[in-house]
Amino acid sequence: MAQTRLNSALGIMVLVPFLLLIWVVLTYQPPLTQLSWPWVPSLDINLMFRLDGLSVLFAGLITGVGVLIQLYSLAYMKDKPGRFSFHLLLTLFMLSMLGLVLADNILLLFVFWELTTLTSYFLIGYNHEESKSRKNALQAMLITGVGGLTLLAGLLMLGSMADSYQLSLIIERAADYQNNVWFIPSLICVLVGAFTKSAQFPVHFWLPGAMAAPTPVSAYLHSATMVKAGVYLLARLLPVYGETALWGWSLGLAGATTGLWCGLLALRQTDLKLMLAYSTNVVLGKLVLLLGIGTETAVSAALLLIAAHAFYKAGLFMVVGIIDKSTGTREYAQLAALKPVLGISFVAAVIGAASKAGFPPTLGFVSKEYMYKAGLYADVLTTIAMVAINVLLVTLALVLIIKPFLGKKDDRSAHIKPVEHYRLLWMPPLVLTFLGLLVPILLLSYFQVIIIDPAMLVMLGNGSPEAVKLWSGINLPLILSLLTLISGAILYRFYSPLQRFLVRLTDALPNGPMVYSKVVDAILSVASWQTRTLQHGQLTGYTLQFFIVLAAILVFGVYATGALPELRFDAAFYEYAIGLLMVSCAIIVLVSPSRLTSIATLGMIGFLTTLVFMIYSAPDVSKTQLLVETLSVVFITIVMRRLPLLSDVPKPSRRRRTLQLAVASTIGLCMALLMLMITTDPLDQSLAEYFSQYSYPLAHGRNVVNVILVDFRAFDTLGEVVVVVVAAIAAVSVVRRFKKEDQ
Amino acid sequence: MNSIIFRTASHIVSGLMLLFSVDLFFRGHNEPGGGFIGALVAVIAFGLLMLSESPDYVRRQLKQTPLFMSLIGVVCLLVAAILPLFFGQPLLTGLWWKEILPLGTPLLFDLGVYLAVIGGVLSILLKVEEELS
Repeated sequence: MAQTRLNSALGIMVLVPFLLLIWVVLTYQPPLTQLSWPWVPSLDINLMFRLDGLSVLFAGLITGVGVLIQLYSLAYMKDKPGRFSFHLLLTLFMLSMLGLVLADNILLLFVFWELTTLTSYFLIGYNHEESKSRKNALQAMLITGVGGLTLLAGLLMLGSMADSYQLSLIIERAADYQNNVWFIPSLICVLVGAFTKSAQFPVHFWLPGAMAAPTPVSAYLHSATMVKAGVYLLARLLPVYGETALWGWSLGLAGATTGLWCGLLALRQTDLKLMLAYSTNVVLGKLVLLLGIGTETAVSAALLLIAAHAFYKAGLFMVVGIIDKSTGTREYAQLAALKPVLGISFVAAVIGAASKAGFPPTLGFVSKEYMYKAGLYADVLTTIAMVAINVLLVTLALVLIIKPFLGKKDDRSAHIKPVEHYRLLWMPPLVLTFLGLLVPILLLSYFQVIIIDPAMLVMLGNGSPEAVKLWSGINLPLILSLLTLISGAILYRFYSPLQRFLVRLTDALPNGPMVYSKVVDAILSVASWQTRTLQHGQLTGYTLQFFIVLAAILVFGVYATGALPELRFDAAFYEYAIGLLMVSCAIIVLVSPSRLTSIATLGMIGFLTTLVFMIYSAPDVSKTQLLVETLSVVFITIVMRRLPLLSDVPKPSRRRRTLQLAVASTIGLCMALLMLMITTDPLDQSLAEYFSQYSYPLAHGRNVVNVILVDFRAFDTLGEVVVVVVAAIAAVSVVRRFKKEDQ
Repeated sequence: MNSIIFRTASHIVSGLMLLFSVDLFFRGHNEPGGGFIGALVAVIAFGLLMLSESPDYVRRQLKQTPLFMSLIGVVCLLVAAILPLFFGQPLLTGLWWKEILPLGTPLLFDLGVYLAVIGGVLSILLKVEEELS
């Protein structure tokens, strides 16, 4: 029974992305559909969504791949604990990601941005019994979280420059604030946010670290969705920042470095999943590089590559998941001759790898052609970087196919268990990789009409770019493509020595995780030092700290107010008498050897204060003071019975007592000075007059103090009373806890 | 405490104090007094009983736990605050029925303060005494 209920719940969660996909397709009318619901209208934040070429491309991938991932997870997570929460988290992540790409308000976008960080943290750390998985989840969250906060700063600057938080208005007004002083700072902040999210060098390492997640998560988050959020943001803000020189070279540099360095790192891996993770870094680098160029061709290439990568990389990840399921390992050294057993997975892997290598007629090939075209328009150096990156990808694709599927079996090879009778395991990757073949052959013009043209319109303000074609004749890009494939194959010949060399090279260099853990350790040691210093568990110490801060504030207050008041001595004789009594009581409190005497004398000071209030005709205040004073004496007496005798307690050191004396005299002196300053200024009587004038006619009460409490300023009283009750509840439970610890 | 004089006197005195506390509460709107001051007097009266008898004795006499009393107080406050909304007035506006007796939401509000403060302070007092003695 419980099983059926679980299954239907899981079924609903598979339906969610499917229905959303249908919704997106039905709602979207090219080139742009806008939706809006009020949320916080007073802050100019509304639930505004826009469906244009760019966001529909992403939304389609998120929901479409989402359906397949959910189906795949049904089979993949079959015997794992916590299936329900896994699917739920996956759904929540998908919804946040969808919100991110559809949001038309940058604050809304930021909220969804952070939600993806949070939900992905839970997904990466899904195997929470393993400390490595927890550590890597935290690492991913901290890095993208820092980036997210920086992004928030950048978005706020952008919003205040454009005087709107609506994305479309910000883009529309882009020309007006190009020379604003905050323009470059906002660009830098946005870049930090996008680069951390999209795992660019030098924080690329969180993405391979996130491979601690179950394979469906890696296939979803780290191919089609989350890591592309940074790329999405860059593409979205291309019309705002695209003209800047900083944009061009920083994106070019970051993209090319990430592509090349992570390509080399991918080649040294022996774990297939890690190899795919690093090659995801490579593709993200390629995308950033293309957006840095920012021309029409480059943008078309980027859009094609986003789709191509989502299809083949998610598919390949799932194939690796199948291999893992079947053999229990992902080390290619232990894998060989999988082809006879995992035949369907082999087909999916071959198509996916062909797309990855840019072999015609896949979508990867089309995007690579346009990439080379864009590179040739830009400059030679960019083109060389692109060719080098793609050569690395070709080699990686070959390793991925030949090593596990075709290699010869030896005594190290793991036992292969047939798993392909689970239809849900092989269907999703096959469908995805086939899409990478289907789109360029049959649907390219459709893709152009609904995605590329509308996206061009919003990104470059250009409605009619040249048509994207699968075959555009024999030209320079095609020759470069051929060259890439050949060099990739040659590089594969030297794969083993190259791999050994790369292992030695990268082990010698400082790497990202090392730097990251050093930084985190440093922060933690500062934090624990601070805690040791401030949270020492000594009540007298806490009190002293509190009063030192108070003294500092008071000194500043006196200093800021400036002029010293003139002293007047025209008080009545009984006022002098009260003052004298209070001073002598204070001295007794200090010198008395018995706690009881001190407390009683302290109470006397309170009662004398009551007298002062009486003299200045404030009966309500003086009554309250009297009662509060009485109660506190009662309280202190109860507590005091538990304390040791004053004579049994060691006296604090001389230095400590001097410090206490200094702090106490400073506070006393400053308070006296401040009181004198306040009383020399004429008091603003307008409020007092208002209250006494309207107390009876408006509130039917002659006691102004009470009328203020229960009527004129009842809202304050309401808050205060709630505080009293909450404090009582807290105090009662704290006292109870002490009792437990005693036992 | 073992003094028989104190024990006997404390009952009389605290009874008088409670009466005085109610008086303070009712006259508060026009004369010195009010919910908060009345509540403090009541707490001291109970405190006196607590010292002469025991915290347990006070709890038995109260029938309700002090925290429950303060909860009732908060409910009174909220009712007094929200009631004007049903008459198209802003939150916390004083509503009055002067025809028969001078009653109004400020009285209810003050009653809320009275109960909440008694309950809150008394619960701390009783708890501290119970745990520390």
